[in-house]
Amino acid sequence: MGTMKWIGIVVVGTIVFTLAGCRSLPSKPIPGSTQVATAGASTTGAAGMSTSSGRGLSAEMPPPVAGLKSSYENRAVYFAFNKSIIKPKYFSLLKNQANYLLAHTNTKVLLEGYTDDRGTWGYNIGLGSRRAAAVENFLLLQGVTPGQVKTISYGEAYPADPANNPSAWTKNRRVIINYTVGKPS
Amino acid sequence: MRMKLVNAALLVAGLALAASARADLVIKITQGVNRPTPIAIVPFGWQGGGASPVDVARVVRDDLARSGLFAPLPPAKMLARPTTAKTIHFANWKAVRMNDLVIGSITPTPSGYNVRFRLYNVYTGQQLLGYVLPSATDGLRFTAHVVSDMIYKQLTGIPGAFATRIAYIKHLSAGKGTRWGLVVADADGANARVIVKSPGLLMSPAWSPDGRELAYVEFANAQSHIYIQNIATGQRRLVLARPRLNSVPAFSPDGKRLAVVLSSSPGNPDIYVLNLASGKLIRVTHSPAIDTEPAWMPNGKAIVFTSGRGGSPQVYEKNLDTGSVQRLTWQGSYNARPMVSPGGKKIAFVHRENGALRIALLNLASGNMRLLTNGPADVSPSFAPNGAMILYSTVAGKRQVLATVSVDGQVRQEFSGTAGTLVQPVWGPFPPRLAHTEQASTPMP
Repeated sequence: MGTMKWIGIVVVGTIVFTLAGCRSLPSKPIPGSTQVATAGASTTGAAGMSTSSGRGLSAEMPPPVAGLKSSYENRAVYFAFNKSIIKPKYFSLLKNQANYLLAHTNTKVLLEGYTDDRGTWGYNIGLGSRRAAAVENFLLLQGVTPGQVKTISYGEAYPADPANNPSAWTKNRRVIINYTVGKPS
Repeated sequence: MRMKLVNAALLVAGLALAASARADLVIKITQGVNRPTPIAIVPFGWQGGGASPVDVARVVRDDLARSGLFAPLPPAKMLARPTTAKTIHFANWKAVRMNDLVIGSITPTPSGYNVRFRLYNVYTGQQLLGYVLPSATDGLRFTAHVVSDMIYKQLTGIPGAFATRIAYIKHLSAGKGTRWGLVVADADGANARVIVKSPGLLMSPAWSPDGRELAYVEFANAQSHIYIQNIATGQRRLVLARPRLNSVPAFSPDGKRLAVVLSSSPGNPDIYVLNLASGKLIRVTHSPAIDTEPAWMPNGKAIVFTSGRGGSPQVYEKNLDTGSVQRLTWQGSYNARPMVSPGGKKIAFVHRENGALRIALLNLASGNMRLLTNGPADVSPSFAPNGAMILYSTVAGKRQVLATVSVDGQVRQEFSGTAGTLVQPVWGPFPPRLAHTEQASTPMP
């Protein structure tokens, strides 16, 4: 119950941003994510997905696709500078992910927390950890089994975009839902 | 010596450390004092066969030049090259306006070498230092750094930190296989040696107080691990691999405890202290915000750290006896990664202002903060064991390189590697063997 209360506060306290360009990310390989392309074909989940993931989608979300696991943008949650609060615009994305995991209880995900490089290494490892934990908490509140979810923070390492500008920083402040748990980075 | 800023790059641009084939760092002095002390270090005499395995005088010359406080005379401009006291004619050195003169010689012994050197004031003709230093066969370069330390101390009043080592993380962004390395090198960049290679992220190297071990974080199989590794033997032991966070280790001054950052409530970073003998963990911080980047005060009774508890990252100090917490930084909205000076009177940290990350120095007694570097991406400060310089990570052009700045902000230099990016440097302590060598050295009348 304490956790329920916490997420309520988070939702109320969230500032909604518009982040132009967020959706036009290249689906660049990230550590441990190299096998995502085969994910959609590997289970019978694809058929069941279209029904379950239809719930809770807002108009601005990408359409529900069989490849929840295969599209980078379907697995990416972006954050504001020095923040670990999930923006409401990502709630439906995360509900889609939760529904997929609820329908595929043998599937495990690794939640990888990342930051931009405008800070210190130690602080950024902590910030990435809190971001990953925020996503984890959201998924667990949707009923996902704790054993299906593991988190890790890489801090400012492995930037999605190594450039040093606001657009790159926006892409780097992220949690990636990685379906290839156990694969070394 | 008048201390004024010199704006242009000067002195020893692109000084290559060619003396060692393994040297893979190039040091460039980017800012020095405007009137560095002129000093002549004459090539040392060699009383063995062939050539001396190390050009000791050259190592000393390079050390003193790198400090930014000295302008060593190039050997080509020397009017004479005496190697004994009897053959010195001070007029030769007054003529080229030298303040000080160093001569010396190297004699092979059954166990290695004896290195003799003498330091003179050119104007008075007075001998300021005269020592015989025994050197192991493979320790001649180290002995040269000890000579530099002794000269530096005699002329500046501050112990030199040339005979020390640094550690840093090297990241190779291109190619397959090993991508991260933990490197140990001499303070001048020579003898760089990769002691850990990993396909996964390496982070947060931290020296043991005796300089024999390094603690660090390695990521493998989606898990972070804290290891302690003996540098000489290469043996390592796994210290912590708890769920979620295992980060930013820091040895206590007595070497018996390790401050670490672990996850308290899920995902929330808090500082713990691990007793290395018993394995017992004690939680140190309890805030719901990020608490990280612990550094010990020299008495081992307090830890300074970064915390977001006030809404933005700031530096705090926690007294481990009383439990009281005090905020130390008040200027600006981002102050992080504190490191304590060897005497415990100053704290170096990263200060963020207008988007730029700069190295700042806080005087704990006065509360006065000074910015030592210009940014825009200067992080990971650590003090030299003599407290005179700070090693940090910076961006030169588009590359991440290492740099040092004097604690007065006046002398700066960059170390750039031949490949990869270099990050998270830490300056090691005075090595135990230095004390040994000093004890064994014999004053010469």
